[in-house]
Amino acid sequence: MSEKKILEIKNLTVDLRNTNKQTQKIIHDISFELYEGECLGILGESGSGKSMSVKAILGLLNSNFIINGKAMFFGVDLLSQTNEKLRQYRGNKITMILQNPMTCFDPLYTMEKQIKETWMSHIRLSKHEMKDKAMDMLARMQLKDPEEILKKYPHQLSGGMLQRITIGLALSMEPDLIVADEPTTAIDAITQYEIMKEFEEIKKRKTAMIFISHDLSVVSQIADRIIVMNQGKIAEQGDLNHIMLHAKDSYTKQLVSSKRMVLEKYNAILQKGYKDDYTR
Amino acid sequence: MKTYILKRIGSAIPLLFCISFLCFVFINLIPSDPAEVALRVRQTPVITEQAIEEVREELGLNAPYLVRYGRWLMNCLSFNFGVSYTNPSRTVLGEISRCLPATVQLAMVSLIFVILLSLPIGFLCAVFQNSWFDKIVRAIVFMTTAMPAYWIGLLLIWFVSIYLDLLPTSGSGSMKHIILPAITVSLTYISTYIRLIRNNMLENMKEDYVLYANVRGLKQTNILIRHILKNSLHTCIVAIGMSIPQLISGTIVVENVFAWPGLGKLCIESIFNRDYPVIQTYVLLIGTLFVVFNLIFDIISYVTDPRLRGDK
Repeated sequence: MSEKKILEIKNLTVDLRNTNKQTQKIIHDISFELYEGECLGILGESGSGKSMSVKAILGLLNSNFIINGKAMFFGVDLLSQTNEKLRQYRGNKITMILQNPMTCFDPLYTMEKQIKETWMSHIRLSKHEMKDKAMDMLARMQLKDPEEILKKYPHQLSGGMLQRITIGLALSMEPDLIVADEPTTAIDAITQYEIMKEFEEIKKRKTAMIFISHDLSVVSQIADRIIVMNQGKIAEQGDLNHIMLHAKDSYTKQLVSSKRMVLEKYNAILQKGYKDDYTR
Repeated sequence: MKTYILKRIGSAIPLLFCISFLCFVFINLIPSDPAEVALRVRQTPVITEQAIEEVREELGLNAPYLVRYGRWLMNCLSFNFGVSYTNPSRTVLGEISRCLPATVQLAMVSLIFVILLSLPIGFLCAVFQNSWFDKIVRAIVFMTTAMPAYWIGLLLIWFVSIYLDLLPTSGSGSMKHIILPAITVSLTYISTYIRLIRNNMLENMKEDYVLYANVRGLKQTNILIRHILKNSLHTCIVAIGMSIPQLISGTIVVENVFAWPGLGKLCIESIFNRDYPVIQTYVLLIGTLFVVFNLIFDIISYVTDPRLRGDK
């Protein structure tokens, strides 16, 4: 793995301004970095601040949040950029895949319009090129009948199809960084499997990725390195083996032991089934 | 889509019959004898039992209740709403169609005020939520919702017409005459719609599709206008459908304050004169307008929403 840093977060804190002028700390001074071609997993239960920290870097939080620290992306501090500059990064150099594909698209527009408007916000393409690019993207995401899909409204497509489209969109601009925020959580198990295959493909392309999830088994499948977050702090940092074997933090230990228990149960059932087959 | 529209129209018809029946029942519940009223209105010097009996016969009031309803309904269906008691030389249809244009004109101008003002103000309030602009607008909205229309009307007459001497106090005829009554009628609606659009937009801003639009790097103006505003207006369509007949019927008070020669003024005069056929027709007309506009705007919102339309 090359040692070139793509993203370096330094002392990031996020505070929420309450109605009675008090502030509440949500992210406590976190620092981490991401190297070229690396997939970083961020693990934590809901409310641990894992997706909040990424949204803070990308300027996706409203003005009630006070963000401090540094987020160097190829040497540029994202946190000191204007809103317009950040917008040009989003969906272009840094793309994101969200949790719930079913509600991610505007229900009043066809997929074609929404795919096109994404590109139109960043690049100039003729109508014809736009259409070709859209067809090409859908075909690459192994969606059958792209022509039909473009004419459809979001509610006419399944969660799995929509998530493929968001992944396709995220890849289409050839970004330097892809952030996946719980991309498999709202999707049924079979589609989840297929979507994870898609992410393994992305990994092969050597695009840097941040993969956020509360699910250790999903994260362990894809991440080179894992950060465990708990209550707005980084509880543990290291590769999968390190976390599985040498977890120091009590929260991480709990996560790991529950995962172990599931694994043992799974193995026991497999073993039993195996024996049953032979003793019959 | 066709089946939905046909179904919707089909369900409106029994509703219209219900309205006509209720309208007939309520008018007949008024505790005075229509025959006697008719005689009084015609200024018969001495009202005898015999005269009342004759008028009853003449107006068909002796027939059983349902027969009278049936007769009236059949007449209504052929646009024969009877003759005014006050002035037997005038038909009710003639009276209504004489007054309707003025009321429609007032309602239309008010509706234009409502749309022109509440749309941009509501939009800006949502975009600059909790700014001083939003706070001032909210205070004004709160006050105008609480103030009754006739009082606002009187205040406007005093301030604009008498104190500043800019516009006529009452009557009709020129564009100048319509401004004050239209402002009075529209004020309450403007407040309602500012609040509706503002709240709808704020609701929509929390939706996932807005977050994802930001994630995709769409321009703020694009997100606000093409996505948030469009989705918010969608829920306003049905409300506007109800507001149009409300505007037409709600002009009663304002028309009397400003002596605007419309339906509302006719209605109040008819009530004072116990002119039953006119009152009955007015109530029926307003009821019908509600059903019809509700129907039209339901269909519009159905046709413009891909989720309802059920595109396969």
